[in-house]
Amino acid sequence: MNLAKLPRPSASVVVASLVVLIIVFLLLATLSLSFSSMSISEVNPSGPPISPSELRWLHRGTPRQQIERQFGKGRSALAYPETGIAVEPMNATCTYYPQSLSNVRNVVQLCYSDDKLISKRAYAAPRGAPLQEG
Amino acid sequence: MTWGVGAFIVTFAVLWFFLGAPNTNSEFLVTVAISAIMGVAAGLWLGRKRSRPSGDPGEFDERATRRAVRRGVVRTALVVVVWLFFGTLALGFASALWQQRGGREHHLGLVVEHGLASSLPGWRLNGVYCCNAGIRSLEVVAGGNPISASPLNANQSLDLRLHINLRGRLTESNPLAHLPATGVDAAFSSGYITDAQLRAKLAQLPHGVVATAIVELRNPTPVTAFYRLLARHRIVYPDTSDTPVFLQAGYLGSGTQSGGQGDQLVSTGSGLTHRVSWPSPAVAGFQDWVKQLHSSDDGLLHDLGLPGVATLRALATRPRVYGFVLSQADPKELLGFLADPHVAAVRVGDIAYNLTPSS
Repeated sequence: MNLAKLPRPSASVVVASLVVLIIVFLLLATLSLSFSSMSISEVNPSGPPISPSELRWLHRGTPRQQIERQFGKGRSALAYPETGIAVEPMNATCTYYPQSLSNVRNVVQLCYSDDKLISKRAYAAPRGAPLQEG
Repeated sequence: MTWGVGAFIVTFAVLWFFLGAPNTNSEFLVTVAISAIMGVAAGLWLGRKRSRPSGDPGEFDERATRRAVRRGVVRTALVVVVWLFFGTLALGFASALWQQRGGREHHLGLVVEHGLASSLPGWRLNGVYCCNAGIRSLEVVAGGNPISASPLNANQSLDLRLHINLRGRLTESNPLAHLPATGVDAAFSSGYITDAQLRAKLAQLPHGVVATAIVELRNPTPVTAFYRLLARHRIVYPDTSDTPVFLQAGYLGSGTQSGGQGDQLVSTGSGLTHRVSWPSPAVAGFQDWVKQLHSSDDGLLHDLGLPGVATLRALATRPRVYGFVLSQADPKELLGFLADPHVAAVRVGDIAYNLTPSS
């Protein structure tokens, strides 16, 4: 491309471009301000509990969407208040649900790969006080 | 020619300003190449001769010329101010767009928040906030309290402000080395004494003193067994959630098996040897964090005194506890751990009177 053939921008074009740029910037700045200063640790509300009997009915290979429709999205380990002795496979994405609301330290761990359930485990809480939420 | 050289210098200066000094020869060459391209483009575009009106210049009017010169000077100054203003706005806009592209802000915040938690076993972080966007960097603010035996030190608070530049690295050089010393740092740097000597010293301590200590385990311990060990010493939830654990072997863990993944330790430059830790034995959180890291985070992790993603991934694949931090432990508790066959060593940091231990 021959740059020498490009027309020189006139002053009005430059000013108009800058004004548009400023308006867009101010709009985006307003949007970004509303998201800034948010604690990274904020967590999403967990779904309903999954009892051990309900866990037995879940089969490996069940689509993630189907499980989430029934039990909610659950929480990741970083967002769950206390995962205790749970250990995750590194090749999967895992979510946690309480076994009951009376002690959310008893957890159910569901792990997915390619949005299919590949492992399900229930972990009893280590010794200590029960933890209730809400 | 002048336009070309000017564009080259300006581009080079802007790249240097935003991206920092090039670390390698290839980075320097890339910076020079980009500047050269901009210089050539500007030279071709703006370096043409303008057509000048021909004709009779007319009579020379000295007063009119002076007025014209004054007007010219003022107009040039105004143009410069306006260009600077709009240029700054445009740069800020472009920089904000670049820094927040594709969830980068959230990802970097995640890396720093849990990277700090993993790198600072001596601090209880109580909030990490991200990100205030500046022209050149994103700011992350972390708050917390030191783990210390003395209630005076425990009331100190951390106000750490880190800035991540456009290349995803911290602008501060080794920022964690300048933090106040904690009880855990004191335990790390404590001299070696034998178990018998330590037992004798602990037995002499009066009632009412508490200590910060690092307990080194004899063998790398799975999480379930580690919770059982804590429970045997009456450390149960919620105290367990405030017990930082080390996921790498230490240099001085006498009898501690060090091999494979645990061998790569990192010095933060403060004279202390840190190793990967996690704020509680619930290591599923550590695994979740590591899964979200990319190899491009290696530089930022290094700035936080942590090993690269490959090492962290190896640690997370089969998490084992090599040691842990005991805070506000009384001498009896320390003696109990010293007598435990699963414990290789107890390294005491600071000791203080604390008649109303809070944690």
